Amino acid sequence: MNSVEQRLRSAAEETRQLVNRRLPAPLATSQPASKLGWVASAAAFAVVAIAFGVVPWLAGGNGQTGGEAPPLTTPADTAGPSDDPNVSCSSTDTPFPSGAEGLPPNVARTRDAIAAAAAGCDVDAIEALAGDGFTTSFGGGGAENISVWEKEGTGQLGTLLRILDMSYATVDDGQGDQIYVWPAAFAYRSWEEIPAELIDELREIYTQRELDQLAGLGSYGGWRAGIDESGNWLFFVAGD
Amino acid sequence: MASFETFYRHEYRSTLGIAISLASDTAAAEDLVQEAFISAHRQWDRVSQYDSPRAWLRRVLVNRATSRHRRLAAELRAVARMGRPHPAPPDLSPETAGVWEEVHRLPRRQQQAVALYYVGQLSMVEIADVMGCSEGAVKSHLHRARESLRGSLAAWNEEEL
Repeated sequence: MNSVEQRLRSAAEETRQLVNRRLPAPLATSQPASKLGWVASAAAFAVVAIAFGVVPWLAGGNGQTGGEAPPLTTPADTAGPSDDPNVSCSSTDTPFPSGAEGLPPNVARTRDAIAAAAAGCDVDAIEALAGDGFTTSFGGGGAENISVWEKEGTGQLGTLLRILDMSYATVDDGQGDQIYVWPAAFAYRSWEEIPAELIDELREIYTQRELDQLAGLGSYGGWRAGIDESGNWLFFVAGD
Repeated sequence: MASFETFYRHEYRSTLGIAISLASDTAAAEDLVQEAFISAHRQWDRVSQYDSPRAWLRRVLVNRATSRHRRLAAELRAVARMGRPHPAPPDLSPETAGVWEEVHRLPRRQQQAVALYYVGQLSMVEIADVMGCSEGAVKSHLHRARESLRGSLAAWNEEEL
């Protein structure tokens, strides 16, 4: 065993011993959620509340709800609405995105395929385009959520189609690879840095009130989609 | 359906261990754990029906621990604490605290993989489930983390000496 491995295991063991000596903190486990406000500072709690769906509009867009969607797995729940080509969904009547210039071919292909599937209410195609690790919710869930949301009346295919028509940007994935993200507003570290024209694009999916609340988060944390350089669709997610 | 109280008592310690390896100090780790449990408590009707509420909780924890908002919140708390008596120092040895300090400098996904593998003692399959990626990706994150730590921990040792 090399020294890095030894040190990690040793640190982990000491950490586990430390916590094993502790009783669970006197967190009000049986208290109503409304009485738990003492746990964190107001600022920290606000961040948590917003990021985890206590403010439902963030995940929903246009007042729809979303957030930490459960990994629903029953066949009845995952059956998509797209078997009938004439079926409508949340993207019905949403204009098809215009071409995006400057994208690498792999990214452009995936983006166009996603747009085609979303416009056609084809959730089977959407799920096929989403690879391993594709995320629709930080609380868990992959592409199957997209069809579930459509069934539940909180569909986001229209939102997906609209953001793919917005400007895109690239962000580093932390490993030196680039991820192409829509909308470009997501690439800015602070809300103040986002150019006005990019904020205007967001009006396609958010009301002014929602934009004000997004601004309060400090950076754009609304719906966004990301595709890596190889053309893998990585996420369609809101929140943080 | 297990009660939330049972879930909390059963999962608290292992969750705190993972949080300590991801947070800047024990107090921040306890905050993280509490916030994750609060999130579970608020949605317990739903969360308790999942195949693995524990995996869900850990997913919430690691995502939150490494998010930019978490860092910002930690900074705000640190500022708020200035001028006040500092709470009791963490009970970790300097050696262990140093290891986690270097882990915190790793890319987000590598931090998560290290915490879940070494402290959480989760299997590759479980980690992949929590992180929402393939087992291969988990192995890759762990490999890269060890490679990075090989240099940084050696440098840390030299500074300590």
